[in-house]
Amino acid sequence: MDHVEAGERAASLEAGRDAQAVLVLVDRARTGDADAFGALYDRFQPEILRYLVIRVRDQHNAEDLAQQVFLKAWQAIPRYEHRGVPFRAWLYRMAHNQMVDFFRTSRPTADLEGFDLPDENHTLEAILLGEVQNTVQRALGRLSEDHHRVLTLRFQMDKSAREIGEIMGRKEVTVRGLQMRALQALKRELEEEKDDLL
Amino acid sequence: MSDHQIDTILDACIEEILEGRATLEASLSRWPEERAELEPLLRAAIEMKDLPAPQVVPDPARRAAFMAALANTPQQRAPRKVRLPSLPTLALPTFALAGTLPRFALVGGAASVAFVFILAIALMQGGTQTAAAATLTVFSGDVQQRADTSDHTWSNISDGADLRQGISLRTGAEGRALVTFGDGSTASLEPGTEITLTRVVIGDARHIEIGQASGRLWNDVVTDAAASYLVRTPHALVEAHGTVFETIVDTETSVATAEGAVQVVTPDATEDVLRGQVVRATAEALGQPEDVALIGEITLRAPLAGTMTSPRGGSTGILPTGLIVQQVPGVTTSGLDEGPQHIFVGTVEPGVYSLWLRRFDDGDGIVVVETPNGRLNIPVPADVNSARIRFAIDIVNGGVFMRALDTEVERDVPEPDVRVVETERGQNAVDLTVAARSRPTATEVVTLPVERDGADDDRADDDRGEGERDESRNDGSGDADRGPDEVPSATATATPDRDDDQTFRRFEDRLDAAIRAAIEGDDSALRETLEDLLSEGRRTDADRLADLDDAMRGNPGAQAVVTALVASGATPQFAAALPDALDEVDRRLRGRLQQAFGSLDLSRDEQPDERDRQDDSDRDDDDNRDNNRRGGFWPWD
Repeated sequence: MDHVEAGERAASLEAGRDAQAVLVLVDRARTGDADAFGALYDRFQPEILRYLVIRVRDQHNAEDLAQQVFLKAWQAIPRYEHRGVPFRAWLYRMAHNQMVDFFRTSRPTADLEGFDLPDENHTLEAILLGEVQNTVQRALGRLSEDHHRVLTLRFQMDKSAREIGEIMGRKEVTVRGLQMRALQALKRELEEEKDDLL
Repeated sequence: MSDHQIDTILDACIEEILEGRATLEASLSRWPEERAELEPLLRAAIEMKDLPAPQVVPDPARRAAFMAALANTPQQRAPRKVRLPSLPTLALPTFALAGTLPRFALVGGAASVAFVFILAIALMQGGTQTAAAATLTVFSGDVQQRADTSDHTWSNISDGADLRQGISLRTGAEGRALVTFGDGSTASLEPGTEITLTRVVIGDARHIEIGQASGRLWNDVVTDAAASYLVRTPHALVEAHGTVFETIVDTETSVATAEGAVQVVTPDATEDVLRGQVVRATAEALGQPEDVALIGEITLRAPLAGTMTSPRGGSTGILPTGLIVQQVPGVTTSGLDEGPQHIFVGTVEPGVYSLWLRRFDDGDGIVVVETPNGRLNIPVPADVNSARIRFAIDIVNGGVFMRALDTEVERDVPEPDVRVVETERGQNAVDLTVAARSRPTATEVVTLPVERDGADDDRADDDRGEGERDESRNDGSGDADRGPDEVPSATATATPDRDDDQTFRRFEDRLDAAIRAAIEGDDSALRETLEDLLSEGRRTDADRLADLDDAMRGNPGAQAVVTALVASGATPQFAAALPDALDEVDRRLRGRLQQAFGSLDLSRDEQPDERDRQDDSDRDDDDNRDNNRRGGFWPWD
């Protein structure tokens, strides 16, 4: 138990140092330090890009959007103040807004067959797995934006309810309720998908 | 098992499954009674978890391209904000100043000392926790109570009554009342309103829940991010942490936010309702937030603090103690820390409202009254210590209009015959001694004829400090009986100035003079002034753009500027410079400029980019939410 607690303390300490390092970079970037912002880009761009790839389902468009997100963040960072919204959450909000604008102004070009599916292994098992995943993706696509967003952040971006609250600007308790309603909605959609297949 | 509990259990199960600490079966086995409800949701969760995750690897070429783009992208400076000072939360006892509003006929240093003293006394009275959940103030008419929702018998309740958790209240056709909670938050009940104090916990953490069955409720919630303030209606749940908002319950629920932001939750949707927005919820759907128009704004460019009282009671403004109260539905006030006090008037009940002014420092000044029909400057001489200005709110052809009934202040009026309830909203107190110290001096300035302003609905978002705008350009004679469509006028004698910005001052005066000359037919000076405006740096562009907007508030002024721009051939240059400057000014000012320049062909080579789209950073920053731009507005958009 002591070993576990010590490990947790070390992790907590590391997280604190990490957050402090980010704040230092943010402060430098606020004053126009491009190198500091470059370091923030290196730290957060892969995660934001991953989120956008999941949501947009098009690697090329997601990469463009991620570039736009970070350019906008660079422009706006002098106005960023921590005040309860961590920098990472701030970037997520920007990414979400950018994505919403993208969907609003462009026709969907998403690859409805999914991404990263095993295209070399055409075993029955792989085909069935791919079909299940496509079913879930179609069901997700019919959810409200809030529901889709909370499920993506929770299950594909591995965010806790607290972190999702920071990203969505909601209280943790609200996120838990939203998560439950989102899962209920997903369950209904999955059942309809299965009914359609039968 | 409540929804809240099942939410929490579900989240705990998800957490341990995602972290690999438990299997689905192991997790469910710990919750046998909830198993039936949890299992299908957890199975759906696992299907989500099993979706493939895209692999993202750093791309050096992309990074290099990004850094190159970054080198050519300027940063945006932070906008100025009007924010109230934040003092520690205080738990003071509620006390009512029934007809005994003290006069503040104090001058200079004596006034400063007196305000500090009174504020200190008020604070020293605190420290005790109210035993009752809340206290009731009855302003007028009938107010009834019942012990709880199972009790069908209503009985009258008197002013000053202590309220406990579970009690229901309803107001009659003329009934108006105020519920004051232990933390200083208040809920004002308009006629025909029925509420239940479902939950009231005041202590280390505030938890207030009000069930509202009908009517209009105006909520002034003390800021506390960790605390909750909920209003539950038949159609929605409204959640706030520190804001001013109203809920109107009829066949639908209407939620309007006057300050801060609230969250409106229905079973299927959630909307954030920001300052100046309203959203409607029915049993079937939750609408999109829409803008709420103001019918008037009052700016106190004078060393006096003001309080607006409604015809039936309640007050919004800064009390002599420095405390801010916001109890009149539809009326809100700013503080004094970053400029003059502003009182914003939205949709309010018709009647005669009084603005009570109390001096906190030496000097003269003006009270600026702006409505969609124009601007009225009311002078406040240096020898006025306390005064009143009355306003009429009328309903004409279905619209609500505000007009001043007085064109000069009414001195030494008997104390108000309406009731002002002072609450313990300590953290929203204004230190009037600081306000007095930081207040700029008054200076004589030139005046211009008053002109019809067009559809200028507000100055609500304009946060420029004193001295950055000349409020004294209008001149003329007042007319207390003018109708809402008539042009108001008044005499202006002085305006504050700022010692540290004489350059700006000279530019402002020069622009005034140039516009006057242009109106008379000579626009050479105006053209030259506009060229100077275009040649200055970004920061001053924004300020001067705001000043330009001030100068153009009358149609002849706006027309003169547009004509001079065209004549000087400067429109392309103007078009190129404006978007950057516009990023620095507020949404409403941008709207007015759009209206003024809408007839110009301000074409440019570049197509609209991110500047003309909603600003993410504003959208993400609660304090800046009212700066949002929901779409481009220039001709090239």
